[in-house]
Amino acid sequence: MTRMPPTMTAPPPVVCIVDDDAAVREALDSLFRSVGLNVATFSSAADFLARENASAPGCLVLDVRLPGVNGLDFQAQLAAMDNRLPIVFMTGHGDIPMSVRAMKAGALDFLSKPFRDQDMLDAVSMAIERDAAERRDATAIGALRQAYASLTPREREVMQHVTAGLMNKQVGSLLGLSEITVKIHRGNVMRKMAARSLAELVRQAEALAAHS
Amino acid sequence: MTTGALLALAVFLVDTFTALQGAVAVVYLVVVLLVAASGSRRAIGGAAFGCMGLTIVSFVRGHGFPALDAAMLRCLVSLSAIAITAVLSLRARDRLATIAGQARLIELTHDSIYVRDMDDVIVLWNTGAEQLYGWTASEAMGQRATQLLATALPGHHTVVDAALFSAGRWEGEVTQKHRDGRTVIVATRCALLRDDRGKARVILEAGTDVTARRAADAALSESEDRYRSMFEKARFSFWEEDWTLVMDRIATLRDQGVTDLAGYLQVNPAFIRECCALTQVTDVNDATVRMLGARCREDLLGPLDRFLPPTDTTFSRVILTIAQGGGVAEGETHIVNLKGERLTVLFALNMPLGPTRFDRVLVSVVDITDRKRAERALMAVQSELAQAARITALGEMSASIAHEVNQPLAAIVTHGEASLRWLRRPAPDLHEACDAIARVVRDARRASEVVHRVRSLASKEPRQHVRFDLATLVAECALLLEGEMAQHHVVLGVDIAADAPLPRGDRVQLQQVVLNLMGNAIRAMSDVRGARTLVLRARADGEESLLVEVEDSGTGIPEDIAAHLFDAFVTTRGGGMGMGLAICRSTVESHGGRLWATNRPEGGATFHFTLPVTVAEEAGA
Repeated sequence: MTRMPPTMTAPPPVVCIVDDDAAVREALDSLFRSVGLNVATFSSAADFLARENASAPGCLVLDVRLPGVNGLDFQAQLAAMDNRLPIVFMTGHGDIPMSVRAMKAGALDFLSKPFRDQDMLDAVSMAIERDAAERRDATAIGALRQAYASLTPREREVMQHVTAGLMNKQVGSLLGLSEITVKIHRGNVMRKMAARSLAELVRQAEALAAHS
Repeated sequence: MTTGALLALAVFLVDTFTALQGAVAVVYLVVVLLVAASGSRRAIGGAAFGCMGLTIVSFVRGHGFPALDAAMLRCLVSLSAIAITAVLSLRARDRLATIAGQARLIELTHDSIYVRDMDDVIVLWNTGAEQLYGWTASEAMGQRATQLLATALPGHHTVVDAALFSAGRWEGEVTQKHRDGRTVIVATRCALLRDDRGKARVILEAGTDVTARRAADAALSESEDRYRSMFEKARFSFWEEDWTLVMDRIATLRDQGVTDLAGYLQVNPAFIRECCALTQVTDVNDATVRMLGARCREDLLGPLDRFLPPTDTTFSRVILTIAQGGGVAEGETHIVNLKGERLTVLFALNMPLGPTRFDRVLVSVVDITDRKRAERALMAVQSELAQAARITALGEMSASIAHEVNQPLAAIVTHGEASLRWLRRPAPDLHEACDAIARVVRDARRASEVVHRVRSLASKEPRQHVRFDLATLVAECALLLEGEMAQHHVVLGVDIAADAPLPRGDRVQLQQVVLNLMGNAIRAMSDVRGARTLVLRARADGEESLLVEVEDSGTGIPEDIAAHLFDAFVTTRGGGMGMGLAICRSTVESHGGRLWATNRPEGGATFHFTLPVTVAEEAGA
């Protein structure tokens, strides 16, 4: 991830708090605002799903015991909806099996109430960072896909064989083309994909394969 | 006699005044015999000498004193004939007198006596025989005995004959017929009488009617057989015990001036054990052999104390019942079988032969060990269920309370920390900090309310305070802990003072307290060598309170534990939660009593608690 984020300005991250206890919501709201974070509070899972600006970056701070739905089940529900917002769990009666299950399902941290403020802030900032990174990856992949979509079928074939490590001459004989024609297609591929070297084109091919 | 005299005169005249040559004097023999037939010894003697005198007179008158000639010889023959006849007559007379006496004796006896000759013909038949067989003497005489009486011998007649002829006598029981046809059983003694030359002459049979006695014997024997059969084959365990030695011992005691046996037994437990050892088991049935795990009946005979453990409390009552002349003593106790297993049994003891026969006391025993075990298991399960339900409810409630209290606590902490952050910002935001602190106060109040609510909830639980009998409660606890006590070889002593007042309170809760303290005591002794004694005492403590003490002979309370013995989560046992004593203390205190512990100077610990006897004030929950 050496590349810089895309040039367009990303919206500021929001910490979403879901807890049925108003006092806990208020306290977390105050704590996160005191360190300059944006906060949105919800008293139930349903309220959270119905929020505006659902695509905003940030993280989710979720109480395990929620009215209507269990926090762990809600985590599974979100994953099924391809919502990748990182989750920090809170529990009033933290037990090990439950936290193990949450962590295995991808939770970022599992904090027992009452928690230390620094632990909560560390967990949340890590979650926001993880979210930002995932969004960056997603953006990069999106650009690659767009570029790949602009290739002609012949150019995709050439790209496939070149990135597999074949010489121009070999690609030509495989596709029944002259070496010169292969060179022209290859030049177009490099330009359209904005790849500055064959090594970068290979990495791009791998990233596309991984996210296909 | 007169005839004899006349005949003698006639002979004398003929002998003297006729010239008949011959032994006329021999006719004097007839005179002697006539006298002998009815006269006394003296008369016979007189007649003989008279006749001899007359013979000599006749001879002298007719012959003078000639030399020894034929006439002289005849005279001497006559004289010796008269003398011999007289001697013989005298002897015959003696014998006759004996026989007459014997015959009178025979008539006098109530036994039946008859005599038969070697042809089985009856020649003598006494009054006893008339009564026994119904035939008069005149009817019986001359009849064949075997035919008349339809005699049936116990064996073959040749065997009886052989005995009779070789030994001269035979005894046995025969069945015969009465004149009216009914059968009589006669105990018979036969004797074979021989004459001087040893020739068998007659058989004398003396008999006694034993028909009635035999019938009674048969009835008795049948009754005994029936008893035996019941005794042997019954599915119950039956014992026969010989109490003679015990009764002798009690008699000695009474001779020594002991009048109140019950009182004596109460203060002399050693005497009870002594009596137990003196009681002899003389017979048992198969069911007993099986119950006690013996190989055979003989394994079980001997002193009773092998089977009755020293913890038995029923034997003194049995002694009293028997000493007071019988009746039935029954109860429930434990016996130890040959494998060392402890059986719980119901027993009943009685004296089938009456209050004077102590050598054959019958005891019936039913093994109820399995039934007891099942009852105990059921009780234990019920108690465990109740306990489990209580623990589950407690667990759920505490989880819920923990959540209720934890939420505001979490909020308070976070608000506090947030307010610090607002204040520590380069430009402190007092407004936000104040808001956060105000919420700290608000949420702390809320937490306090939750706690208050829980307390009022607990005190709302209806308390059922009743008066109850501590002894019954302790007995139930002992039953529940019986297995554990047996496993750890703990002997339980219960000493509740007779004047101890009845406590009042929630019986279920207080039973848990007693159960807990007893259980602790048992486990405290699990590593102790030597006697393991658990004693529960109770007595009045002042006017309005009952003091209960649970005492063990364990290792005592370690010093480092003593100070916080009653705190929650303090335990010396790996498996314990450390809640038992904490709950015990709060239970006792909620009843208005106190619970404390001390170490005993002789080793072990005592837990003491008091309970008010009057209605407990609702001490704060």
